[in-house]
Amino acid sequence: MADEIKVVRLQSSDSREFEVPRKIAETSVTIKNMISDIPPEDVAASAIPLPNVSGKILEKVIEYCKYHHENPTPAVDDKKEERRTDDIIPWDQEFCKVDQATLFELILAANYLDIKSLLDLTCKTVANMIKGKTPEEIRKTFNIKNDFTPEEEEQVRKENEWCEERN
Amino acid sequence: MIWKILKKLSDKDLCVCARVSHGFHVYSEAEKFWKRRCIKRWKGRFLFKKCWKYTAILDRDEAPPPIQRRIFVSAQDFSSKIWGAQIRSAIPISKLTSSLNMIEKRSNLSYEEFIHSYAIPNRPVIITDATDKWKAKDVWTKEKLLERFRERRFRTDEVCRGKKMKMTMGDYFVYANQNTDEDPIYLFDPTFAERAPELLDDYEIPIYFREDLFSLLGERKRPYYRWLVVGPERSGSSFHIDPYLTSAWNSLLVGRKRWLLYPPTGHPHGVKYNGNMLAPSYDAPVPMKYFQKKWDSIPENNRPIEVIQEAGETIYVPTGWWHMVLNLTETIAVTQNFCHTANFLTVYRYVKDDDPKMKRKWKAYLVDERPDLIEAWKNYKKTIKMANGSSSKKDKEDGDKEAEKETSN
Repeated sequence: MADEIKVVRLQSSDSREFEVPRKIAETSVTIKNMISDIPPEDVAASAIPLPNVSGKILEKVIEYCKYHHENPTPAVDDKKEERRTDDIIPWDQEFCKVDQATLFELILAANYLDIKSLLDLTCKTVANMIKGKTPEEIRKTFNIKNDFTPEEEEQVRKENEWCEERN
Repeated sequence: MIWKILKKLSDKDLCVCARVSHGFHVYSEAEKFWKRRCIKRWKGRFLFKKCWKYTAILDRDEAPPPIQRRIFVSAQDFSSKIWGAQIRSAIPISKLTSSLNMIEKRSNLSYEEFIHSYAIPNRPVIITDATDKWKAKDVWTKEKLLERFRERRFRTDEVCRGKKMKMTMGDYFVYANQNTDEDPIYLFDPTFAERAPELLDDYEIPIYFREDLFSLLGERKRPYYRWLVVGPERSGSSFHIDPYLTSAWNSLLVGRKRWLLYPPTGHPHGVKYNGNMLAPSYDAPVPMKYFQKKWDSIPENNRPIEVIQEAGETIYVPTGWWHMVLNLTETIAVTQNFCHTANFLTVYRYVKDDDPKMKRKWKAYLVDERPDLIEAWKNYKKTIKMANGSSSKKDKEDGDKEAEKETSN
């Protein structure tokens, strides 16, 4: 009975509803578990509430899941490739070209919905925004206030320069 | 999630991050993060240098940077977890000492009295003279152990890639002396007799604990039963019950340990426990966390039994007793677990459900060597069966009368 459900309805925090093929929705482990916990009649009758995800973000997430369902990329060995950030496919790169607020909301959504590849992608993207920059450049990128006192700043520079000068 | 991002950054990038702002600093300097990176990179072969960050980044032979004082940024506004760790690493151990000694300390204890006063009634005791004649009393000091075993590797309680991480004793003591972890790595090795058989000559099992029924299974088939235990101040074990519901003795050669105990039917405050001793499942915080978060809320009617174990003393932890240990100083100890006549029924019952294969092998030996115990088990089963049968079928009064008749036969 439960297998007959081909389409599910997802409801965002701002009450927008999205009809999504079940297989694509189940990219999210959270949604997959919700579906298996709710009796099939209820899944067909009402939308699955996702109070932690806004409509704008849910839309992006669905777009991501749709693309990756149709264009599967080979699974990466997590343990070995943990620090790689240079292997993002072009479509994903474009997908992540959003304002910072959206990017961070995508991270939170990927975490809540338990979509490993999206979480990995968004974190890689943020890491790439940090890599190779100086402290001031990082502050500018994320609009961060420098709350070190001049003495602290000098101290912390001395403490970390030796590493920056290695290799 | 912040950790997920940080994990993708190189050492260099993280050092840059430490300079961005207070918030960035707190996360990029977090010892717990650098510890994971260090162990992933070096496994047990790191040489600890002042902190996990330096230890992770530098090669073994590189000296740490000559920085005298390191800046400290409180994590209070940024991460309650890191803030908690900062506090727990900084609480002076002297704050956690205690003068309560609720367990009897005995010397000149006869074997008979031990059995009748402690083993059979399942009560703990501290024996103050069991180690008097041991070589270990003189030769198990940090300096002397290092002379003999500096390059020998021992197991720690740290898990790395699914296995317990091993370190040389020399490297371990360097770590033990310099670390400021809230839950330091413990040297906790059940295979020490294979790695350093000489250690077995330095101590002998106190007379009270020589009956050892698992030994019938032989060294290879029996579960782990003896550990070399070395740990700096702040290290220890969270509340637990020993495996297979065995009893244990723990002889301390160097240092001081603070023990908290609860009897088998108890439920330690602050520990999540499913209440089933025969199939136990529980979750308890590490000692420093326990003292920080749970200690002040212990209700009057559920206070633990406390004792301070001094060097030279041996504690007997009877079957099924909950216990938690905090090392107040650097400590060196040896501990063994065992099944003897007094706890046989309890242990056998547990093994029967938990590991039927082992139970079958064990029973085969017991039938030959200790038929009296197998007989006791059979009678015990009978009694249980009758007690269960009568309460469900017959009128309660009749049932009681019948059970009484049977057991008196």
